[in-house]
Amino acid sequence: MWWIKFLALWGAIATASIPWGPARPARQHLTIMGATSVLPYIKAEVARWQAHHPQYSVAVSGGGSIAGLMELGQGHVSIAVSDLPPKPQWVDYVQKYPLGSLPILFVANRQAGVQSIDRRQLSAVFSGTITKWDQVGGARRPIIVVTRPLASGARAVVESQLLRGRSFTRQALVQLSNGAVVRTVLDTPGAIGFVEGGRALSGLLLLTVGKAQPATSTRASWPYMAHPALYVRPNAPSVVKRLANYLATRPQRRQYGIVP
Amino acid sequence: MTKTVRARQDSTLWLKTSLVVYLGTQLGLVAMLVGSAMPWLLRPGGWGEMIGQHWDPLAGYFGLLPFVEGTVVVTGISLLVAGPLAMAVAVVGSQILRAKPQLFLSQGLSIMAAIPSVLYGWWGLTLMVPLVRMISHGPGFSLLAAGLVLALMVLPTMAVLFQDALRQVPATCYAGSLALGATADQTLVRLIWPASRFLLIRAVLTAVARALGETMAVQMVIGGQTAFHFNLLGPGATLTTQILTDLSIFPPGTEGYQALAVMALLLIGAMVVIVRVGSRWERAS
Repeated sequence: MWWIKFLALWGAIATASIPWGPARPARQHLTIMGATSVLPYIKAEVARWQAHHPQYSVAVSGGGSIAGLMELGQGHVSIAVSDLPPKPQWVDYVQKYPLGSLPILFVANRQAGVQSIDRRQLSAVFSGTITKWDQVGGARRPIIVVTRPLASGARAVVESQLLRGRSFTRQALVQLSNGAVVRTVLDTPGAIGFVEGGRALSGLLLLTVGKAQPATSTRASWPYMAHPALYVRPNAPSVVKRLANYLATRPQRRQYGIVP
Repeated sequence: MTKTVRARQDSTLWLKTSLVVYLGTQLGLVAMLVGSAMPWLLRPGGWGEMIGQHWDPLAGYFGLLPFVEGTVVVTGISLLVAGPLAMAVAVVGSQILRAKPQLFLSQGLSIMAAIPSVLYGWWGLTLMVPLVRMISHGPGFSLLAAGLVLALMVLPTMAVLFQDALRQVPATCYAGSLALGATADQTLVRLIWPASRFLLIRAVLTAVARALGETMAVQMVIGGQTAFHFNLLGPGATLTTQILTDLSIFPPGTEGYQALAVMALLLIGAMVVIVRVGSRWERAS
């Protein structure tokens, strides 16, 4: 049968590809997973780190803060990246490497007609109590709230720091990434959302909340900050801790909007 | 024992092994989902919650109706839009075009069917969402936009299968009908459609199965809203998009994970119904 011959040939090729010869040092695989907000920084710096550590291969993926911590808890990843402190049901006993602070900026579509809003109003907008822009001094247009999924650390920070126990309106659009939120708010008249700092926001209204000015360079004047950090298990190999420490101390963080 | 007999026995063994591995994997998947969903279904009020309208898993609300409705509506829109268009393409391709353009059309449809779904989602985001926004003065992300994107996705598959179904009717029947004085339309409606109805229905069921399972393209344009409503121009979510959105937050064993497993079982159940309907139709024919 031709296909038995094919299988035999395939097996031979697979066997030949196994390094039977003198033992070569095996590449060690490390995995980083979690918050998408600092992923561009992590990817760039991991590439630099790998250039000096060719014996390691590092995979970096998103999925959200909570997903990263859960995967760390189950031992599937080496380092978790999270905007949220870990809860016992996700992962126990972790070592933290803070990256700094990342401002969460509130953005609105240009047709909203509002540049400044106070904290209570913003909370009412996100929770669905205020549904039209003219209720907060803006255009006569319905408000369309854009939020992130439950697994998003940025959403959890907004819920705790701004909504303080209230939930996002069930009428909100849910977008899976920061980039998708930016695009949706940009394209949808009357839309409002939140994004973590460090990305270009041209074409959007950056909202002032009360007396707080949106700032990407200092944490003093802006109360809505996420605090992304890297988490590793205490018994992790020393190389994992070295990598976490390297990522948590690089000055290049500022270029990505992270305030050390 | 001759070489031929031994080779045949070898190949039979391989085939049986492959079949066992395949079935084992599939049954293992279903068993895992049933095992995950069972605690949720067995608890008091579990089944009742399934038809609830309120989804807020962190607050303990697990109503699945918005997602079931979203799945049915989006699939329905896609079939209503794609069905007639696919039939038109199939009739032109199988009855009107000459051999060369026919081949060109078939190849084009095959290429369209193979385009990755994320590209259809991109197209939807660029064209469909702004179009619906213009009509509704709403966000544009909507069940309608998702249904239209899905229609474009299932159209090539449906058209190819319709075309194959129509080609099963012998050309002599077609010629005979015309010779008896029937028009081309009468021949299509009264002869070719009834003669190929079994294959046409199977084509529709295949398209339904594809539409039910599609996730990425739909997620990009549907808006992800979990509120229950009947507004086609408003945002929504389907079973598959909600599984994608919430899967990463619930560890195995939690109520949220169990609810997502129930959603997956609902989808598999829908597929089983489709296959059963298909085979019943086959037997009846």
